[in-house]
Amino acid sequence: MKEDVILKIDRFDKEKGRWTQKYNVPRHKGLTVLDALIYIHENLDETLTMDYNCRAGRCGTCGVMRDGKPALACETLIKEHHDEVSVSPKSHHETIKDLMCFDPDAWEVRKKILEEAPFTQKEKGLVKILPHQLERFHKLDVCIECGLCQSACPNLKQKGWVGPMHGVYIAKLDAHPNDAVDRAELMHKVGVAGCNTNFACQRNCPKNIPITRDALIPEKEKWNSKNNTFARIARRMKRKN
Amino acid sequence: MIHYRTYELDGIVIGGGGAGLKAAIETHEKGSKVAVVMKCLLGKAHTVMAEGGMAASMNSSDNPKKHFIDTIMGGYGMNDWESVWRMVNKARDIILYLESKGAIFDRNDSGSIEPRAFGGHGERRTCHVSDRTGHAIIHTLQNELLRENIQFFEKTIVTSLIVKGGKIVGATAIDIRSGEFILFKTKFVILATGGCGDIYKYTTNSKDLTGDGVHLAFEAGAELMDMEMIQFHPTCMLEPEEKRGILVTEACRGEGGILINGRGERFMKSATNPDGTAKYPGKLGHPELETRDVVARAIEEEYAKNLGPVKLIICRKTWNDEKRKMRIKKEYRKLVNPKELLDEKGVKERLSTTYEQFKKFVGIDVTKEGMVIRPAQHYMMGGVRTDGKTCMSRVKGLFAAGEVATGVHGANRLGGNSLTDIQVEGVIAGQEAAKYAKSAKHLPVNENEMQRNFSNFLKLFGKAGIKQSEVRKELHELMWKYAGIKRDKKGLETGLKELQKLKAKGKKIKVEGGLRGNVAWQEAIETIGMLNVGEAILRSALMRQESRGSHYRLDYPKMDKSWLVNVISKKVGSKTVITKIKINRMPRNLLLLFPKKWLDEVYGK
Repeated sequence: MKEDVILKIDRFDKEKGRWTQKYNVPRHKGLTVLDALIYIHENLDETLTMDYNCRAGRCGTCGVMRDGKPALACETLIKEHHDEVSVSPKSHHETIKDLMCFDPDAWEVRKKILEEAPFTQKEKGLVKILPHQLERFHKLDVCIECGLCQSACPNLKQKGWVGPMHGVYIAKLDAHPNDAVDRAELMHKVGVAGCNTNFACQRNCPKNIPITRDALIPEKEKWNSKNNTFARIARRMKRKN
Repeated sequence: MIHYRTYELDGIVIGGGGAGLKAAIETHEKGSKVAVVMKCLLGKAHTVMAEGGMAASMNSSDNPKKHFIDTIMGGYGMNDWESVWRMVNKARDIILYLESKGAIFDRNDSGSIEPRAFGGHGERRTCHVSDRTGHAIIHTLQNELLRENIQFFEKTIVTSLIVKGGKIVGATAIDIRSGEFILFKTKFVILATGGCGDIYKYTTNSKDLTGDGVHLAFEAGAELMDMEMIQFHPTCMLEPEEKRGILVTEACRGEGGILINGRGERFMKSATNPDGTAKYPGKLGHPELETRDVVARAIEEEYAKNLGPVKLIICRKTWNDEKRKMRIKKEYRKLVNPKELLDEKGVKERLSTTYEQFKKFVGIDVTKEGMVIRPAQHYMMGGVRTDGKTCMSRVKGLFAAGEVATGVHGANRLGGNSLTDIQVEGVIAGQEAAKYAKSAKHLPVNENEMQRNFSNFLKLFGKAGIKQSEVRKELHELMWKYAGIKRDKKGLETGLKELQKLKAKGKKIKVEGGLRGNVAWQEAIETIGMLNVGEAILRSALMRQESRGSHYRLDYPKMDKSWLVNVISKKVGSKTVITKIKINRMPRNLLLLFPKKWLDEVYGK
């Protein structure tokens, strides 16, 4: 084990373009990627830029690609066998400077979803909800909207797929026991057909949300059961009768 | 000639947390054109970290009156009773509102909301969404904001408020992403910037909470009140060093968690007064559920004894394991009733965040090992002085809501009350601001003044100078040392002297790099503000010669009836003036609700 860990950072500046820079950071037990980045920013190079806020894995601001894989910097420990860690900005995001980036479509997509099918109460007031009704909702409600699943998704923007983060949100609304709207049609509209269910989002979720299993596949199935060939024929037969 | 973008709006809300979003939604509904300006990203403000819950009298055995009594007693009588009264009565509506927008508070087996116990509350009152209540609230509000299509500016720091003749005219800001200057021409500004945790070395607060609102309001001519009242949360992570200060929610104790010292003694249960009565009776029969100031001091006392780390145990299995491992004596074993602790499944379900947090950061399983904890800065009870009824400060058109405003929590905040407070104040500030906007007019802004204002911030760029991180680190150490849990006259005076030196150093701060995406620039601007906030805290703490709630003076260890006053700091010319004013007394019929012993102790006869 070496005393220092080398951080290889993919940097970007609008004027200077892209380059890679290496920094040596003293290692100790419990050092995370974010700690190392803060160390660099405070002590070695003030111009290194990144976004972070809570430092505890709750806000979802500090997402980066660590060794090519999306991860929350604040939760990613640098372990003893890591001699060199490469850090680059989230993929599928627009980089502003170094690791500071943003998803230019995120809020527009969300606005569209909210316009089409916002949460609508079935019953007004305080509703009785039994704990077992909340199982699926709670699994999806943990989402911190860090956008790492968007970076992990190999099918993003294929057939208009807006990405798993929005899929989780739609599925969460659908899983709400007091919600009156069915969003299978909306899910299809935002391009869930583009998702080839390769579980990349689920594997890379820092909150371990079963995105593909509990959000995307059930919604796909719901739409399919309504719109597959058999269902269509059955509907036509019914109409004829 | 510096180029800048101009927006003409009815008003802006500074801060994208619970209070800010709620205020913006409320103002928008009342017909004002409003925008939210935040340093963080939308939905990622510090409210997201609030874990435990939101206090509202939802149980059948509970009522707002009981909530009122607990809050005032928890605040050692320093609260603005009218604001508290308003808050406790509106708390239920807030829960209903959030539920109607899609949040689901945790239910019991019969399907109704099940609040949990919290320190200082005499009833089970904290409604929660597992242990990520703030997360649920902010995401609900964020979607509501997007649905209403309210304008918002992410990664934008407000640098100054423009005031003319005691009235708000606008605000200047910097878009950190593009490095552009922005001028907002507005009739009102709602401050919802949260607390000032980042001026302390160890804090549960996120990076953005640098007391910007306090600094902006102070510079604009508003009054600050009770700045010495800084709450320290008793249970925060101690190891590893970088993670020190990360919150371990009070819900752990609410769910039956116990504190043991280095020799395995449950010190809060075994402590007695000289007359033999229990020193910490706690609420609901649980000594660890004393108010936060009391628990924090008790933990610090244990650390002062050098017995080893204080541990928080929430799981039955942990207790059994630790009992063996630490070879706890029999007399100490008797103090713990393992039945009150959660089982493994309960921990993973009800305190999932805490479980994950320790697994990831410390690498321990909290169902097998105790959590090592120590107090850290958590909340600012003081802040911008507002008129509770309208949330407006002394400057016309300048409103404040949430942690940056003061009044509700007095000398110590009860757990769960802050989420209620931000929502209720958000509603009030939003509605009143919309009302104000209808009668107010846009006033012209002087172009030369703007150029001067912006060029001041450009002057921060340069090669040879002091780094902002250096000044910030020194401020962290200084505040933690002199304005921490225990304070005294000598320390505070030394602190003030050192702060003056640091302020001189702060004038030499220089930043490298370009305008675009320059976080160091933002941090330099914050640091300059933080120095002012630190000074206000030190000066107020020096002024209050007694110990009350979170303000503990070693040289005046007792509560003093004559100090039932609010400490006000304001700017006169270029000088800070500190005065005290009497608190607003409750009417007699409300006073009768309180136990007589407590009234004698706090109010006098």
